[in-house]
Amino acid sequence: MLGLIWRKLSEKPEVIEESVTFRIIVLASVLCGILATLSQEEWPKISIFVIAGTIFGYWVSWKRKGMNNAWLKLLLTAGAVWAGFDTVNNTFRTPYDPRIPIANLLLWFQCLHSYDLPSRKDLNYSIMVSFVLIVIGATLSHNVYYLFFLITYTILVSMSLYYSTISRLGSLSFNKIKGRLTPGRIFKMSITTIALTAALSGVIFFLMPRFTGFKIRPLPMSWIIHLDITLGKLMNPAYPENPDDSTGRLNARFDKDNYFGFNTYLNLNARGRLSKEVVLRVRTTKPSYYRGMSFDYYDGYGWKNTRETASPLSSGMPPITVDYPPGVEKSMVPQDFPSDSEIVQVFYVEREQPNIIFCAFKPHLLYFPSNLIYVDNDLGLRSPFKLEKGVIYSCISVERSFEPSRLRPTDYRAFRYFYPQYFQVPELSDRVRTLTTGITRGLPTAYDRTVAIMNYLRENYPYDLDIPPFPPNKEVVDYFLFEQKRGYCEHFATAMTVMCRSVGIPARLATGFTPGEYNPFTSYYEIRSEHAHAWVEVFISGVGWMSFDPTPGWTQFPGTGVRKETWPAAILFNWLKSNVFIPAAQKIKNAVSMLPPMPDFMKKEVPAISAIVIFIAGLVVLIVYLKKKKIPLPFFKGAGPQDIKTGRVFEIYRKTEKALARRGLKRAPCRTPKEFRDSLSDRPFIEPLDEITGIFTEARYSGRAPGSEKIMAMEAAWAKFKKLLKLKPAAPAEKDPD
Amino acid sequence: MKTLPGDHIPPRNHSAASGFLREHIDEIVLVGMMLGLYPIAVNTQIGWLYLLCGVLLALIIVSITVPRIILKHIMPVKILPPRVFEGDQFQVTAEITNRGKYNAYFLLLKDKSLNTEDKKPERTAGFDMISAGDTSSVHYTDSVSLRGVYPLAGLKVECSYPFGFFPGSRSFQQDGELVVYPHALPLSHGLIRGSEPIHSAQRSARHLAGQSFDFMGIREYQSGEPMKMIHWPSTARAGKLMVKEFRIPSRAALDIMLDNSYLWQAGRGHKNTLEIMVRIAASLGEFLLSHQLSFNFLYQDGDTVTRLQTPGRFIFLEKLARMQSSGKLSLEEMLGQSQKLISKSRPLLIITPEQASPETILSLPHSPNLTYFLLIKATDFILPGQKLPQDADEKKYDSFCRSVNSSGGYGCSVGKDDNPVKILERLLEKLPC
Repeated sequence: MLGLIWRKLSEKPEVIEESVTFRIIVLASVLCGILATLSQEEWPKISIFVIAGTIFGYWVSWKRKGMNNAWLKLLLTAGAVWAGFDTVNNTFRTPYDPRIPIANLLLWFQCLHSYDLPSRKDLNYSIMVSFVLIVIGATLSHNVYYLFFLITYTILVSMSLYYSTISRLGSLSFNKIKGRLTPGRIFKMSITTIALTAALSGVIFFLMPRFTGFKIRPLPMSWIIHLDITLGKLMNPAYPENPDDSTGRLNARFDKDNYFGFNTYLNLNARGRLSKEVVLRVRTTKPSYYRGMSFDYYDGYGWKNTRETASPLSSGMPPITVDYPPGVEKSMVPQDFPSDSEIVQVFYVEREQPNIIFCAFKPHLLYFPSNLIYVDNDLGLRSPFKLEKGVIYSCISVERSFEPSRLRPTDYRAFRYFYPQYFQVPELSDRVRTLTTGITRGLPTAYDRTVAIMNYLRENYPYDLDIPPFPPNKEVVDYFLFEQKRGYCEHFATAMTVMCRSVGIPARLATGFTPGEYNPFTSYYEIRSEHAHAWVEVFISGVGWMSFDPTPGWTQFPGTGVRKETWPAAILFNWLKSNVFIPAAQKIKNAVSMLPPMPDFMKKEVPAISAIVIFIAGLVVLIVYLKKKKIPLPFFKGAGPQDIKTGRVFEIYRKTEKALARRGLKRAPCRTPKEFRDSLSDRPFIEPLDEITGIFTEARYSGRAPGSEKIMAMEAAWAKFKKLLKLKPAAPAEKDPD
Repeated sequence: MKTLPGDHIPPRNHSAASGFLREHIDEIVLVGMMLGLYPIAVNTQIGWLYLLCGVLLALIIVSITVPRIILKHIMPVKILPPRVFEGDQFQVTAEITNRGKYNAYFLLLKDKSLNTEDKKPERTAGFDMISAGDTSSVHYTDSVSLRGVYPLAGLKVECSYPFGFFPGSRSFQQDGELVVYPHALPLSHGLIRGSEPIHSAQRSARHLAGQSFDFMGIREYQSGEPMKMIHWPSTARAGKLMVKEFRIPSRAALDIMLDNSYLWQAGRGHKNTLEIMVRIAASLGEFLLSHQLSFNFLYQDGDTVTRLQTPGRFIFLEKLARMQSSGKLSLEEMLGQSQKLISKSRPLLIITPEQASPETILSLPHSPNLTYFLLIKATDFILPGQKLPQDADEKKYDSFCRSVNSSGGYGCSVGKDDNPVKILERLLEKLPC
């Protein structure tokens, strides 16, 4: 048995690959694949070994390509076994994200395999493994810079495939391949074909349907971190101190990279524009608002949460099932609906974040890199540590849909007993109460009243980020509604929450992120600092907490109403529609409106004129097409063949006759083509002329269209005829001795 | 035959399924990767994977489409000499012309040369590039082991541009045939006294010197013949080298009758009664012609006997090349029909595999002492599954020969393992010429 294995290992390949250029190009492709994968991580320790080892391996392969490499193969096998064990070990450590262990395994395989590449087949396997590395790199990539690797890799691989094909041709052929394809020419060829392939890939990419994914569990998450430094308290690195509500109203602290709403106190006098820096990337089955926290107490100038600490929630193994903490009365909260649907989200933290676990409301299952999290009374989730860059977690939320028309008038007395904080309002001005009562008068249900308040705000107040600070001691809602009359999301959300509470509807203010911008290449929703947002959560009896967004320009119902197109073709169409078609139509409309009015008599004839114009245009298009295809038109040149192929045969024969006529050999009208051909039997071009005449006669008189073979033969004969015609005519034939 | 580099490719003896897998493994892997990547892209919702999936699909589409477009403009042609001798090597030229507007890349020409029954490896010639309007060619040698007329096998061109996957292929039928003359056995020249062998060059020289030969026709120039023989006016007309064929004007010295009846044919390949007869006739004919002796040749054409009167060398050889066991007459019937076609004063050589009865001698059209029988022992050549007439018996050949010899003629039999040269030389010693 061992002897058999040894003999097998000692076998030399049948065909050795001799092309150094081919090997170098494959090495370049492989290195590109390795770099594409490694660059997605923070250059793990193995990087230098893999890269240097692969290059050295190719050199060893070249030097030992025809030798007995049994010992080497044995060592490589041992190395592969070790890499396999290492992968299994790593997979057990990160069972929720096997990409890194697989990437490591492939990197080692690629490196080890590079030491034994004697033949073309082995080099092709190397290309295949490099492609898998590119795929792994793609799954790890978060941004569009990966396109650089893809383009480079595609060029190199196509060149490798060219060399592989040339090598295959050489191995199959008995003749020597001429080798006219220099590396420069191959590079040019690959650019041309890649351009063609890339264009086609782009079309396919745009048209490829994208179905809802994440059907396979578990969901990705980072390695588990056993750390608890927050003890359930909110920790925001940008706002380390808890601001006091009595200070800093005019000069509230503002950090352009960190939203002031992820704080224990939300100061409504904070002003500024948040940056465009990407803070989170989300891959989701459906975009939605990602809630971070909520506020229940309004002091007239800002918001805070009456319970600063959250309760621990732990699980031995992910996922953690999210539920209200002990002490919260759950009987008032409706249980799951049959119509509830899941939203799966995978979050990739791009920049340091507070210890808030963002997810769509209402979270149900959480795959988080910790066995312990904290949850507050409003189902706000806290991490036991700050969310550093690179942390990955997933969440499955429940989206609730309901039929508003089936809701009944609600009595909130029991709810008020358990949750008085959601009805709290400061001392409000009469005009605010009057306005709210006026908006909601006559509406039967809490839902209708909530929607009426929301729509009133959306329709009557513009969104403005550049408003001046509110004057000191001015209650924000009153000042916003009646003095400033403009504001940003926190002002709209505050106004709506307070107005709802003022008419007895329980409400709270929620902060988090809007869905962000969809990147069709990475399929991530890129959430930037500027996407931080505030909205309102209203408790609807029989349904539960529902989200409403009173800020104009945003979706009204964040829980159910966010619809973003992810199909690239639709994205492109929408973009064209809004940036090209609609502006163009508007411009045409404007231009037409500037024209003098059409006389009445012309108005009557519009259908007839249109019909004539369309007819003429169609005729022109038809004539141009027929001309281009060289199909003779019966009304221009008499009756002729309608078939394209027959037309080509006729054309060649006409050309032949013309060429002969120029040399003084004109066919008399009384002579048939055959007779004409016979009269030229002593000419050197008789052979092609014979073929041309034969095919023409058959096409003209048989009633059958000539086949492709005949057309090719005709073309060949025509080429030969032209060549012979250019030669000096042969001397007149001698008389045969017989 | 010389082994060529392309010959090392072993014939593929796999089952249909495994053969398909081996041949298309690259394509299967490519399609598999594409089909495997799409569900992963859908489940993970990673846009790059959709893009890679699109790239693979585009690669497949380009790989399928481009070679087929290129092949539309490719025209391969095979050029062979029109006539060769069996067993001789000859050159085959395969030309590929690119009639398209763009360069053609990565072409593989596959040629079996001839539709022979020999298990010959397919010749594959690779071309990395053929410029637009350009022609590339390859040459190789081939040989045919058995005389006959062989139609040219079609050419197959495969294009694997640009990526080597899904190579497109197109077959091109080749019109024409190759006439393979039977191989003539060399006989000793001293057998015919007073008559020196004459070669083609001498015939030509005599023609130039004014000695007249009968003009028979024009044929294509054969490699190895003297340049002096080329007839330039005909060459100019035909566009290829032509020579004139002459017939030696002397009267026929011998009638050769070849019994190509299907009734007594046995054996296969070279060890076949008809092949032995054809080879003997060819050897004898070549020998006689080289000694300025002409002859008439009789054979069966269906149910009639046809005579070729004092044929020239190539006409005779071509007739032999095309000879088939298509006759329907028995030897007796053949002799009966030949009464008017042969001269009673001329020796008659009958080459036949039939076990003629001694009475056959009585049906001869002329004196038995001018009759020579070469009996090919069909019973020696018989193979399992083949049948001869019921009264076939090996001993009858010898008894018939004895009868012929006793009647003043000459008869001998040729077995499977006999040397036909010796027998022919013995026969020639007996011939009065």
